Amino acid sequence: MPGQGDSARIAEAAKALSECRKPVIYAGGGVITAGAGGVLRQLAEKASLPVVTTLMGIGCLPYEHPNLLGMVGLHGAVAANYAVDDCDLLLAVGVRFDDRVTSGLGHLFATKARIIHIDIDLAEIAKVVRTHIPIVGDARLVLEELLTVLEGFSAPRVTAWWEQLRDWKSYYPVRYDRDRLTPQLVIECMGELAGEDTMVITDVGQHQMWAAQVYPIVKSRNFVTSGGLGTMGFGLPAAMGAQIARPNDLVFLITGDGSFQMCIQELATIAHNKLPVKIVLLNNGVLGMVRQLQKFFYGERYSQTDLDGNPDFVKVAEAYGIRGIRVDSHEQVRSAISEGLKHPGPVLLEFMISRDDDVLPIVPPGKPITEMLGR
Amino acid sequence: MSMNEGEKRLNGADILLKALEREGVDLIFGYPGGVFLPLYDALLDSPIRHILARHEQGVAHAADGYARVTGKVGVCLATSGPGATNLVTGITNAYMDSIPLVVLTGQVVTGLLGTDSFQEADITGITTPITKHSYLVKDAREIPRIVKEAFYLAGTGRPGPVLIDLPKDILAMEIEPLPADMNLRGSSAGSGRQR
Repeated sequence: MPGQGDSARIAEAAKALSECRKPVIYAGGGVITAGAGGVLRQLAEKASLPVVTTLMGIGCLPYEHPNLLGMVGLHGAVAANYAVDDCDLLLAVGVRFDDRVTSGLGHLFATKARIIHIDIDLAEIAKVVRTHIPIVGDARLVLEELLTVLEGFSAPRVTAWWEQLRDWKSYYPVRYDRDRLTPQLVIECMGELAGEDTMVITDVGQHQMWAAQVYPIVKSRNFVTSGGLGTMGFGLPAAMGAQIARPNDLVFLITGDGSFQMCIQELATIAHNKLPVKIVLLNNGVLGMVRQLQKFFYGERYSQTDLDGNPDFVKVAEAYGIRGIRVDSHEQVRSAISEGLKHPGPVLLEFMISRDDDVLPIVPPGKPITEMLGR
Repeated sequence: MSMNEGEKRLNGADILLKALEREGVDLIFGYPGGVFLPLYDALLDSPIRHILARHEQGVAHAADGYARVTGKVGVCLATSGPGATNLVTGITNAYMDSIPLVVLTGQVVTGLLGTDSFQEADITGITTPITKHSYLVKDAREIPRIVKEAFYLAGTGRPGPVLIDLPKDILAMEIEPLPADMNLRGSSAGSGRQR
């Protein structure tokens, strides 16, 4: 059958899994593509395996799932990065060891681990890291077989490992202010008010990482983001496509004032087709991600990252016939989102956030992923 | 789906739209232009819904968003030259994230290819490193096979974008009706619809 993995390798993987003490599943976009989220969850629960995801893997396990440590990589969860660094077995599924995950340092990534790499594309095997057990195949088919083969093996002894992981998780929670208008507060509130079938589309920049870190995505294919290319301007038209594809589900676009202006003309398409996209614009008046890098690594010498000259976005939306709501205090966040959700058509919700809110933690360029700033 | 023999002769554009229907396509994102006039004319008689974006970058990203939230192959189209080059960011974006797209571009008439004619760009050349495969159609009779292959390639294995470049004279060329059924040799793609 096409996509079936090599059974001898799968048996080898099962044996390695049963013998390890510190396993981690590292799940990526391939899990979503293959529809392997369900079997991945079964495997994680059955063998008590912790899971980290890439940006593209978000949604393969529900955000609140106890086995999920969070996103791994440059803006990953501390526990996720520590777990990958310290694990003795890495089960990599549908991932490509991208430099946003490995910091471009494949030789320093998961160095204590035996690495099992499951991928449909042979070209990805051993491209970045040395792989001990490569399995080329469809992620769902391979994981299904692995789950069956594991019946014949004892479960890995992971009690001590989970104590360590829980320590990291509780010591390094996602932290942010709730007594002022922070982007995370907005995103958290969106998650509380919307159902689990909601699609969250992002643009590219700080807001994208805050969304990845905080929005409680429950299901596969409900988090849409430009991962590899990092295309500012992707969000608005992608949200349009998502809403047309699934007209009965809610679509949130999370964007920033930089990205939003790169395909802003699609407001006309949204208005004309009456697509009820809820646009959440986190406006800090700057190209925040680049500015943040200038702040941390270029001595606060801010070069060409101020977006002076931004239009009045509420008026822009209204000019297209789209309802606009501006929010400038944290007390209005919940009521504004509720109002946006009640409105039958498209809405622009503009949140005036500080330019000094950073995406944390952050791995400095050229450093291994354990050396995060802002832990 | 059988063709009604004896009706008006079909041109390349009609055949293209029928071939898209056979792949289960009911929605495309696009932006018209000069060389796509035969296609946009045929679209008026097709059940396929067309969403007119406001820039070709939007067209590509919209098809990408559609594909991501459904798991189906997204379809988009843009005219030759600037229309096609405006898709490049969107195609690269889909390629990098392994998103299945079938991208249709208009092209100048085959007789003018390679002459720096108005709104000509070598889009198959430009997109070679950012697609799984690309086609320049030189015979309208090839359209059914190429469309079928394109959907199979886009959605199979590691998904990604596939581009079909369609010269205006090919779209306008009148040909015999589509064969009733078709299978790709050496693939598991039968005559079924997209997944």
